[in-house]
Amino acid sequence: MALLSIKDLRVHIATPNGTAHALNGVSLDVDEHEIVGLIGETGAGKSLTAWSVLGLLGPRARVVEGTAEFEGTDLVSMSERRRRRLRGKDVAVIVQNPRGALDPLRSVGRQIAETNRRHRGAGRKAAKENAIRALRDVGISDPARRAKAFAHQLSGGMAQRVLIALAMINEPKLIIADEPTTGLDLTVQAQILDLLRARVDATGSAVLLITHDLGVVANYCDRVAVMFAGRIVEQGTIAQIFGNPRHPYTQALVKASRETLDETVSEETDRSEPPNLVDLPSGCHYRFRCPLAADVCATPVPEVEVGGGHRALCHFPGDAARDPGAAASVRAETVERVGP
Amino acid sequence: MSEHIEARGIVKTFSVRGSRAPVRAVNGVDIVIPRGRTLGLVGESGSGKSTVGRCLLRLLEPTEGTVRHGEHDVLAMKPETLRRHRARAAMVFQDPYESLNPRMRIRSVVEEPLMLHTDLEPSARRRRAAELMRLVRLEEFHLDRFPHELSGGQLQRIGIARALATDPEFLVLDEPTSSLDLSVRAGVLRLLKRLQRELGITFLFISHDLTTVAAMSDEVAVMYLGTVIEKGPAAEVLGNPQHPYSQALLSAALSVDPEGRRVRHVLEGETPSPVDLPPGCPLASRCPLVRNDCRLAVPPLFEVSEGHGAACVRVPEGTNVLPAVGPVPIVTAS
Ligand SMILES: Nc1ncnc2c1ncn2[C@@H]1O[C@H](COP(=O)(O)OP(=O)(O)O)[C@@H](O)[C@H]1O
Ligand SMILES: Nc1ncnc2c1ncn2[C@@H]1O[C@H](COP(=O)(O)OP(=O)(O)O)[C@@H](O)[C@H]1O
Ligand code: SF4
Ligand code: SF4
Ligand SMILES: [Mg+2]
Ligand SMILES: [Mg+2]
Repeated sequence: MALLSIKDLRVHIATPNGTAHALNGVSLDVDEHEIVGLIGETGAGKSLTAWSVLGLLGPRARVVEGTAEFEGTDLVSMSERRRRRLRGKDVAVIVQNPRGALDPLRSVGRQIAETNRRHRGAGRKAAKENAIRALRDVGISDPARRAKAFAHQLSGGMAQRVLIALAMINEPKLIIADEPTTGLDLTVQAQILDLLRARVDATGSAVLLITHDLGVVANYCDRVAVMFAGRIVEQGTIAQIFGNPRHPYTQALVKASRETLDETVSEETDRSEPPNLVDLPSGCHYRFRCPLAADVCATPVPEVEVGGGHRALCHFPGDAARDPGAAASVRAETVERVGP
Repeated sequence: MSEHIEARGIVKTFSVRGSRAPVRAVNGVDIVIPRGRTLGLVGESGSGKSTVGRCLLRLLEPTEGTVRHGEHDVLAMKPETLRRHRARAAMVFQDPYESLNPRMRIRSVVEEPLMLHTDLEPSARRRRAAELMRLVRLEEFHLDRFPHELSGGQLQRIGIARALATDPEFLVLDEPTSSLDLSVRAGVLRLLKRLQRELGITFLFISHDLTTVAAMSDEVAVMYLGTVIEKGPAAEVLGNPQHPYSQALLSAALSVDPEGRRVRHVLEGETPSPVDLPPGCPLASRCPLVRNDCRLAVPPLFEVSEGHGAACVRVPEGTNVLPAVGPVPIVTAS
């Protein structure tokens, strides 16, 4: 049984223009010992997936269907009281805007120590020591002094590390991290991701890592799920998704990540409008942008298992790959184009 | 020499409320770009890249230094000369949503610089707007839309069209693709390259993304805490970094095709604040190779090879290589 198992999650949002169908049947598992990347363009529904699971949706958004089981218990239908007890203890969150997530009125050390006392019953002195150790673990030098600082006194990178210390202090089984390193210096990003990875490997905890950086995914994740217009359109291991993407949207992403800006490629008109969530196209949501779109794409899309847990939501999931010989030659071509 | 843009000794300080000491955002930077070429400016957030870009366009008044654009002394220009100069040089901003007025139709966005800096008639402005849309590969009907109806990539093309409206010879591109989704980023970059080739424009390309900078730049300058700590031909600086900060930065870059294990150079701690800068090398508080003479004065760029310099006192004796930590195992490839 997976640690976290999201099944057919659907979320509607009331907007002035009508009901936005923001999540349209998201299914995703996260196992112990793994970091699962969740990628996709802005507005695809990545953050909404996280917030639905955590019970943190705003007033206008509502889960209309689906479950998110954590260790077998559904988080969606759980009482907010129980969910709150779980958050900060077994399930922790790291958000993108760290200063906004910290309490401006309590020192960061006190915030970390208090959550440790509340959820793990640590004594006052032990909690304080734990907090300082947690700050040191996230690479903060002179942690005893830094523990006395308030959120507004910290740089963005420092505040993000504090938030990670806060998330890790109670040794959660699952961490949901929404763009945790976006906007940080690369040298700091590397420290933080190394830390997450080491924690997962050592303790068996798991991370759902929302990011738009494919380099982060390729270097730190075990598996990856690709989102488009509120659906997971493809998921698989890093090797499967980067080596042999099957959904046209994933193919475009992976190709773009290796873009060498070859100017001989013909430039077409840019038709990348985001899909209108109030009035989604029937069938495949990607069909207005898809180079392979055919009539059948306006009918419900099947999720196709293309091998070894690798799944794609498409009527034509990677035509080339039906014939192993052709697939190999496509890969060889990619390697040649990208160079060694 | 056919240097097109040449700035020397740029210093920019900001006074901040509640603090007597000013923020020293840029601390003595030289920028030289030949006509039709691209200088990539990299560095972490807060290192002073945007401030340098704005000083070159005189959107900010530098506290010290000189800026030349061709034969023009930009900082000596009187208001009317400067207004006309604005047609020659423009800026493209990072966030296309934030930099465009949401209630303005795209047509007004694109035509605005023509109204401000040229004497074109309305009919000529309309023709130019249509021409600009073709130039950035968008269909003309987008002119009648509002910003929220376009994708990020399309809006950034609008930002570029607007910057190109007056046919400028120099563009400061401030993180033009950083807020864009990967699926549209390459298209915008390719567009910029073509425009440069067709129109012969000089670029200052600001980014914290090393892959993008590598793809776009002829030369690269790396900034840290308001100073350029390394610069040279793009392949040299990105492929053979000599300053300890550049070494750490490049070793932390993540390839989408990791090769199993990688060697890493680690810098502990955080960048200090640009208020009350200590004298000497800006990296001294974090550098594992620091020694006494690092703290005496800001090191000049020492030549590594022709056109490639690094501002580290250890460069001349070749003891400037950071110790490697690792190799760090890559866990994926399952
Ligand atoms: N509170 C809200 N009110 C209205 N629309 C929302 C709200 N939250 C999210 N949305 C919409 O839901 C969609 C998914 O958003 P989000 O999950 O934030 O995307 P991502 O994190 O992938 O960029 C977007 O179109 C967004 O505009
Ligand atoms: N108007 C301003 N007032 C005060 N400080 C500023 C202002 N603009 C920039 N700074 C400071 O100057 C430094 C450099 O900023 P910036 O040029 O925006 O860096 P970058 O573009 O590399 O992120 C930062 O410390 C920033 O906080
Ligand atoms: S279902 Fe059709 S339109 Fe959708 S991604 Fe597949 S080929 Fe393209
Ligand atoms: S000058 Fe000194 S402190 Fe600065 S990078 Fe070189 S060795 Fe390090
Ligand atoms: Mg989000
Ligand atoms: Mg900037």
